[in-house]
Amino acid sequence: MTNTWTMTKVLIRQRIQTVINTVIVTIVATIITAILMYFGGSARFSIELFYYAFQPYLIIGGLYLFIRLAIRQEHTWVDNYYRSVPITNLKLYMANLFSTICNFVIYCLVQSLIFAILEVTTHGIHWPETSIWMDVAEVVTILGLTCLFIWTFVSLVHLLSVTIMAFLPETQIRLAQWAIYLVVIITASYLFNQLWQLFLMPFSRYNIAAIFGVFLVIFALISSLNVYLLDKWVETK
Amino acid sequence: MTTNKISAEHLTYKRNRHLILDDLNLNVQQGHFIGLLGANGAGKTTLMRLLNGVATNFTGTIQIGASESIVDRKQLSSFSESLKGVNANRTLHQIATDYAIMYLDFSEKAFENFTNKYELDCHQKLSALSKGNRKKFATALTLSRQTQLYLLDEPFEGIDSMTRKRLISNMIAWKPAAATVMISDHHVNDVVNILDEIVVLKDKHVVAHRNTEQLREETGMSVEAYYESFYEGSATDD
Amino acid sequence: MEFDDKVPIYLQIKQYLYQAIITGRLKSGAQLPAVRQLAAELTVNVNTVQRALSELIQEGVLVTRRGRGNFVTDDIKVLIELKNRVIATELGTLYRQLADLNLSAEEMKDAFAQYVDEQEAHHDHQ
Repeated sequence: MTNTWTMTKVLIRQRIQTVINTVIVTIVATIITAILMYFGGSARFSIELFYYAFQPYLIIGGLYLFIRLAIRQEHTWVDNYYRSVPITNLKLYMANLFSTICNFVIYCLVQSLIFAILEVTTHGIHWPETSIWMDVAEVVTILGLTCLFIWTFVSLVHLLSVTIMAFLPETQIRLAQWAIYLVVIITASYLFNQLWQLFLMPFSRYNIAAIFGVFLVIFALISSLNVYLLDKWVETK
Repeated sequence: MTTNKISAEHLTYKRNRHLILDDLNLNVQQGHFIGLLGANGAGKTTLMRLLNGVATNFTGTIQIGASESIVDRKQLSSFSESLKGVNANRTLHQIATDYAIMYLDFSEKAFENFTNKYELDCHQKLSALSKGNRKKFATALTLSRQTQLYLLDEPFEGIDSMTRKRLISNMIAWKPAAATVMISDHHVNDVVNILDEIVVLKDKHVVAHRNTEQLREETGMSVEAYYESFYEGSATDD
Repeated sequence: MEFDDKVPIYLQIKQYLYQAIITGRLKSGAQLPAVRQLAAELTVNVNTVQRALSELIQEGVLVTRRGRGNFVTDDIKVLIELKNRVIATELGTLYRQLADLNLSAEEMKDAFAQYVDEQEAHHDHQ
């Protein structure tokens, strides 16, 4: 039998090209934007130009990669290429999710490094007060948990829709698809609304440990549902 | 003790409210070349998907050796459709390297041997291959694993008859005595000489399962004529 | 080699080997290729080749030497008997077909002799 770690490595390697491409595109876009800004006469040519040009691309690239990785992850559930491998669905699930996380973390680390270099070269080294670090850590944690939540949630929706559609006559699939999308959009917007509420709360008021706990319960719940669907209902295309 | 068997009992499979296999029974001894014959849509690919374990919503039992479990069946069978969903921008070499990691029983040496014999250039991208070469590549990958059951779905589609003969004779030289090779095809004559047994699928059932030499001896019919006899008049049946 | 799919393949392989032995392509005492290799050359199943060879071994036309493979017998008596048997089979077919045309024994002999002469003359002209 193939083990989880082996599978994770393969999946990371297969998707790392997407990460690399995204990083390259953000860098190229940054350079082009900086040059355009310079020739547009809006600024003096300096590292600072790159520093400002880079920030939006960092975010856009992150969003793009986030979606790309989600798509790749979802393909895994319905392609023979992965589902034919002798590995339990629980292990495949963990490997798939973990490799998605790893690739996204790699992107974040690389971009942070670039950002840090630009920051240091433009503003010099200055350590913020220690109290800020706690807040930053909390924001990063919540962002990370949100990403994880969205990925598992997307899987749940996808696996549920595949399950439902296998039971419908082929003529009704399209109709069902729209119905499923509608339900998903409504549910998702409700959930994100809740999440935003969480974000907008002042730092002092929420308890990171409680959020973490609640998240873990939800994550475990959705994941076990996902694995159950994979085990019992979700076949390859 | 019937551990060296492959069996499906009372196998029923539905998808999209469409009955594809209905109470199908099949029992084969391991170690043979088996031709899975049937018109397009007879359920050949579905049966292979079920045996391999990528299709799971069936009723009845499926066993390879002593194992019913899906993971075990994936381990005990190698399916030519397992390439479906691979990133076609990767080179044949890259794909094989990943296979070697994902399947512990995959032999890179065997793969190299096959690609040499099949005249495939491993530096090419999968997307650059012709349909015939793609089939050859899928066969090479499938046969490079060391397992009990090999499931080849229409392996000679898009391959000219000269090459086909070479591939078949290569397969004969390769096959381990204990392994079972199941080949689906709707042109019987493509493969008939190497088949020990044929299984004919029609109307969601196995309508015939026979030893080819016995068939010739007892009926004096060619395998093709025998197979076609199941489809005579079927145009007016519907 | 092309096979007739209506006739059991193992019988056709036997015929093929008989012919090879009688014409001397496979000499008496010569070693046969390994079963697997023979099967690959003829593009037929190993089990089928195995069955043909087993029958030839039973008939004494082939002999197995432990660990070394299969050889054509060097027993001249067996080989002569084999040749006679194959000729008899072929003639038997011819005889039955001509008898079905209501030819008498004399007519058959004459027709066959005349045919052979014509064939020879035809070959000489070429």
